[in-house]
Amino acid sequence: MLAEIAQILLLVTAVILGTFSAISLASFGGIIPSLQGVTRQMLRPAAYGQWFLMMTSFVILISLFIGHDYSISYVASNSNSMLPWYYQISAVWGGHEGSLLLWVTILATWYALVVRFSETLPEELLCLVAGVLAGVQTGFLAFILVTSDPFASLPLPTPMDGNDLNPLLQDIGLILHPPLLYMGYVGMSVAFAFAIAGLIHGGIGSAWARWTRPWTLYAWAFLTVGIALGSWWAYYELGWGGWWFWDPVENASLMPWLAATGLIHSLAVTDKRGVLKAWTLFLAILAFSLSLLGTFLVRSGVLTSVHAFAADPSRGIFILGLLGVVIGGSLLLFGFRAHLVESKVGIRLASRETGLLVNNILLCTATFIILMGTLYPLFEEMMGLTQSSVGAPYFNAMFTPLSLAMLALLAVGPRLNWKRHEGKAALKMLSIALIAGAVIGAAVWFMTGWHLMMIVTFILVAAVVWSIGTDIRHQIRNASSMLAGLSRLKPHYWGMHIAHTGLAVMVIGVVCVSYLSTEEDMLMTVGESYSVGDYQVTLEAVNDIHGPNYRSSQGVVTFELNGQSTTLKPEKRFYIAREAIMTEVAMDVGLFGDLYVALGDARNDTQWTVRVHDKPMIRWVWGGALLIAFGGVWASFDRRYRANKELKQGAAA
Amino acid sequence: MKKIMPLMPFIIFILLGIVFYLSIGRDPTLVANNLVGKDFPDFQLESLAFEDQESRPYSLQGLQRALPEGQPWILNVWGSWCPQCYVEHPFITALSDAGVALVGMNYKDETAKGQGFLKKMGNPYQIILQDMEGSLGLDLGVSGAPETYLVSPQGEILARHAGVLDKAVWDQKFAKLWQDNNGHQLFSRQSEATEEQGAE
Amino acid sequence: MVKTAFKLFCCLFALQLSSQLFAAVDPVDFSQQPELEERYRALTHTLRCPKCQNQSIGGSDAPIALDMRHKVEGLLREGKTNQEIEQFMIDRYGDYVTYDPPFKSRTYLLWFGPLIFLIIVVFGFWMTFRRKGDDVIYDDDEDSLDEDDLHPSKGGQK
Repeated sequence: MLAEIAQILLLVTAVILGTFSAISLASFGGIIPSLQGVTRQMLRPAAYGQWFLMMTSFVILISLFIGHDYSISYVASNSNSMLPWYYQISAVWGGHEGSLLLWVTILATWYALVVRFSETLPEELLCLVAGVLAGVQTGFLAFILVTSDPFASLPLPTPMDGNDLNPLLQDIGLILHPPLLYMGYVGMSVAFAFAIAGLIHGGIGSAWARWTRPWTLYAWAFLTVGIALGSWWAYYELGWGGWWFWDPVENASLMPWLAATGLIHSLAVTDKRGVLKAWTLFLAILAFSLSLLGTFLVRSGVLTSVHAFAADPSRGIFILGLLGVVIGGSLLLFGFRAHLVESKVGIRLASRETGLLVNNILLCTATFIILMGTLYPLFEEMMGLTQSSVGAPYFNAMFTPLSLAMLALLAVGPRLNWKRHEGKAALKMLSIALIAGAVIGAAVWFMTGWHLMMIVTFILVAAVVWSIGTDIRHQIRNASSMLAGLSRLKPHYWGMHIAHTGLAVMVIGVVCVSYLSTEEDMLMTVGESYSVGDYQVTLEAVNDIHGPNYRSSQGVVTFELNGQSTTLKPEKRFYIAREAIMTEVAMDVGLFGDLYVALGDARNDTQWTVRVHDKPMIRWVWGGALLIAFGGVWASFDRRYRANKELKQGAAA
Repeated sequence: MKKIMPLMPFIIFILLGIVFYLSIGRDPTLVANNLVGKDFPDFQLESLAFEDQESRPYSLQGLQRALPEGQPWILNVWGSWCPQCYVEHPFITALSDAGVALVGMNYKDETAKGQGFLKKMGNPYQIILQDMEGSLGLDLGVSGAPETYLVSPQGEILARHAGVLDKAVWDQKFAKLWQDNNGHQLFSRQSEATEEQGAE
Repeated sequence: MVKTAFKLFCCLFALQLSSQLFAAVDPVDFSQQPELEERYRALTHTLRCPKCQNQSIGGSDAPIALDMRHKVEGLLREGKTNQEIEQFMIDRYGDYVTYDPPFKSRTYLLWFGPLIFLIIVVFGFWMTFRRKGDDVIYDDDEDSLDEDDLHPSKGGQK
């Protein structure tokens, strides 16, 4: 009964939004201007109404899970009466249909928020933005109703119990990962809608950029945290100590992130200087298009991945059609109207604008590399060739020089002035930094014998940090006291430096993990000590343990370093009901590195295989990502983005 | 030129869309192999003793001598541990009944279990090799079971199929090569018709 | 959001975590030839398991991955170079088996594509912002950026 109600709600929402989208685009697009009045009247009721309807159907799905309603096909295949309540809720987005419902529910939320918090936007522009969002929403609702209905019921008789949630997904990381990631993916639709509305309506400039920026920053921050969470999950769950695998599904999430990173930088140029408008529009369309592309790749089964949903060609065709309309339509619109927003203003070579432009070029190249590497096997197959596999060696080879260039730019770019920078001073600054860096680098290399790539990266990171410090000092040079100066700096300025610091932190983590990790698979005899790196490792004992629904062999492994010892207890579990063997890693998590132990098999009574990792600075990778996201959010609090509001209020008064 | 530039993204997107469209529905779990068109690798393996046969060592040459001369032959990789092998066994038996020279390769199995499988399901193979360590398997680029190879009288690997072999796969991948390489007529029209009926 | 971020931060840095593991633990004793160990690890992470979804032979528990690891170990002990070992696998399983696509005519686009892309984009931007030559406007009016904050409409609000 509830399920049928939810189905009707989805259908009603689709009809309302489809209608609204059509009349909004038609009236403000200039085809039937007479409908503008109706659109204005519908704007808010439609936005809040659809949010209410979508939330209701989402809550209904949750209640079906909690109520163990196994007459519903999706519930039966993704839940089980023994599942803890929190996994019953997260099971809602554990499969294709439910995760898609989460997708549209999140879109509904963004849509309602945009309408609610954009009082300052000219209403005709807001109507267009809402029209675009409503259109996208309609498309995805149709997708759900036609191919992926989570409320579809099973033929009688109703099964006694459900199939259970995939055990890999029964984990805290997987409770949080999809909602955060989708907040990011779907949030890109707001910048996209602003871009399309701007293309139709005209008037793209600083004000437009200022409306778009905070929304883009929020979505981008969510995406950052979502990706970091996925990486963290893979690290402890998949068990070989890696944190990024260049799997197609991971790549699919990184592409929109890179494009969106480009977008927030190019928005800065459009905001401050009113230039680069067409390019900014393009990036806004690109970021959302890549989000949609990711959805397609994950759900259509065209690529081989560990994480992909079960493939279904009919769904693939439907999403491809949807992509064709949304992406194809918007790129076509862009193609015909982009020249209208071009400005005659040029850019000087030595200026902040150039720095940001180079940043965009590098980020776009990075996006291109991933797109190319991910899809190349498909192209080969199209051409009738045998397939290659494009993986970590390729991406690392491509990303290493690119990241170094990015770091070098980061050390210089934010120090450049807008409009024009005194070239000679910059050149002098740069050459001093280069010489100093080379000297220090050579000394460090001589003393530590570290990998050259590590040293180069460290020097660039040091340059970035130094540059940030100098910039802040420069900004507060006229203040009466340091504290007074710091407190006067604006959120968007702080946000920028926080995010850039986050990147530096992350790079340190990545480089240390890549070059200083130790990994050892060993056959250990109980009671004997082995040396791994600087540690003395002992397998003290392997005990039999009984859990609630499993039996377990629990290893007791001690690590000794300089007289200090740590004990870790990795397990090998046998889940009785499922007859499944699971290995649980144990970690000693530290700010400067993790110890990571996994218990393998017993070779005989006293010998066990054990995997030991020492992962220096691994937490810095995710910590850096969180700083980056935090910087983005902090920047969005800037008064600058509310200036439009103040202006309008001033005009009204 | 200036007018076309902004349309470039659209054009690229359309091209990508075509690639995606053509990719939908194909099997992404493609299994790689590089041996088709090359010579069958040499090996040293024991045969699986079955009923009255005796276990004896085979090399490639010995194997070819034991098979009917001038005829192509089939190598079928199977194991008692492989559920799909039970599924495909009736068709393998049908091939054997049609007079195809069949070599079985008991892959990563145990002798007793392999024998048990054949006792239960029947033995369609003229010669059964035991590849317990997967050494010939690795040289052949085998990645699992079942897999089936068509080998020419001269010892060239003509075709390969990973997964269950059935009439449809045979017709699509093997039938023409079989005939082109001097293989005798296998299925008469009548037997094809019964096959289809059976399938229904 | 800030609060959520903080909670997540605490989550990530929580002191002891444990969870499931699926990668194979398969020790190989290289104590007689320690120089091989690093190469073994690199190779098993570069070679792709032909029957798995998308995993290296070092990261998979599949039987074929185990066989291939043993073969890699054997070939290493025979004194084969990394290239010879990769080639050994490619001869049997095709280019699919290595995550490091070999450099040859059909992968030229893959390897050179990014550089070509970079050149095209740089050239495109250069032309867009430079080619205007004499009539380029540099917009040198002297308003400071802070003042600009209060006049958002100037930028192009219609």
